[in-house]
Amino acid sequence: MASGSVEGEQSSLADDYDALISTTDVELLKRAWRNEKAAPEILRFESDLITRVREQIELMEETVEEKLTVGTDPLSVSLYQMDLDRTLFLLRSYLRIRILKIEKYMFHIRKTEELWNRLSKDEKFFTERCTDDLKKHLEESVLSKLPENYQSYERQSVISEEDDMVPEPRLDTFVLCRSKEYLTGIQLEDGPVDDRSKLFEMEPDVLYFICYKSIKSLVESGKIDLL
Amino acid sequence: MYGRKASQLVKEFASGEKGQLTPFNNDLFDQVVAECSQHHGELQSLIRKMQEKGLDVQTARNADHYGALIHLFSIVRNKRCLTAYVYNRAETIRNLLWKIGPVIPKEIEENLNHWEEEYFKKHSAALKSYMSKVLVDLTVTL
Repeated sequence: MASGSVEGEQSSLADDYDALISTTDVELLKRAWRNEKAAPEILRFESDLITRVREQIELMEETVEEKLTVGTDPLSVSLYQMDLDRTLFLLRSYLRIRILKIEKYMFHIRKTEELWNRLSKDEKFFTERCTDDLKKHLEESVLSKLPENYQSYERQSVISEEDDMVPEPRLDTFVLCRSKEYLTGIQLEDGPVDDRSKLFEMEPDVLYFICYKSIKSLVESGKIDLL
Repeated sequence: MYGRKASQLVKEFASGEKGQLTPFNNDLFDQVVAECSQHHGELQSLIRKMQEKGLDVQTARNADHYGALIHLFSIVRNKRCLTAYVYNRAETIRNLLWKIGPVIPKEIEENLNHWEEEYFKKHSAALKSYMSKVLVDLTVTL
């Protein structure tokens, strides 16, 4: 074969490999984990992905068990074990980051439908319990001892026009991000007032440092990845 | 009065080492709570004065009105400080739970007040329940 076509074959194999790797569940989990780590608010729970990952972890545990009993060489076993450990780490970290966000903003998440709907069933139970516990704690320690009209844990007093005592995450923090495709029509939330109508564009695979609020919906739809 | 003690309470928390809990300052805390009742009493008597003068409490703007406003702001400021004190200590307690697990060492337990101990136990149970449902121990050092 002429060398040109061998190279062509190799590079298309490399492309296929890249395409394959980028869609394995571990890669998807890594991506979900990175996004969750970088985003100031809690993102949608990747229910299907997590179910599959858990099944795969079980499978990997069985494989390692089997290899150990059969007496496979330690090097191979340790490779399987490393793969398993890596996946377990990602899963644990993903769930833990989310739980920490829930603990931090529990009242806000509980009362904001958009955020509440992003939680898994187990996370919802946890949040309910958390909010009940903290609410009771605040009521018993502080609020029940204050004059009437000031006993709400969400509002400073009955005169407040909104829930002014509920901590919220700051959505105007800046995040490092990247898009896979060419994106246009992004409205920047933080530009100078007269420039706000200018629409922003993102080229694929280029890193940008943008205000999270401006790209919130694009992160939700999966078009932008956070780093 | 007027928020001074309340700000002392908050400063005491803020000046402590991050992640550590000083003993719950029951004395100062109770004093601030008592001040709230005092301010509330003053507020109500000023409102009554305005009503006795035949003024519309919602719209009239005399010295009594502004006096009442100061008392209102004091109560609300005290409430914010008290809540911040308890809330931030609760956050520290939750972080402790992550760091050292569900059993509190005696030295730390001495610094918690009764409700904080309760809260620690409850939150510990909530976390345990969640972890058992997802079948993953999240407190393993990553």
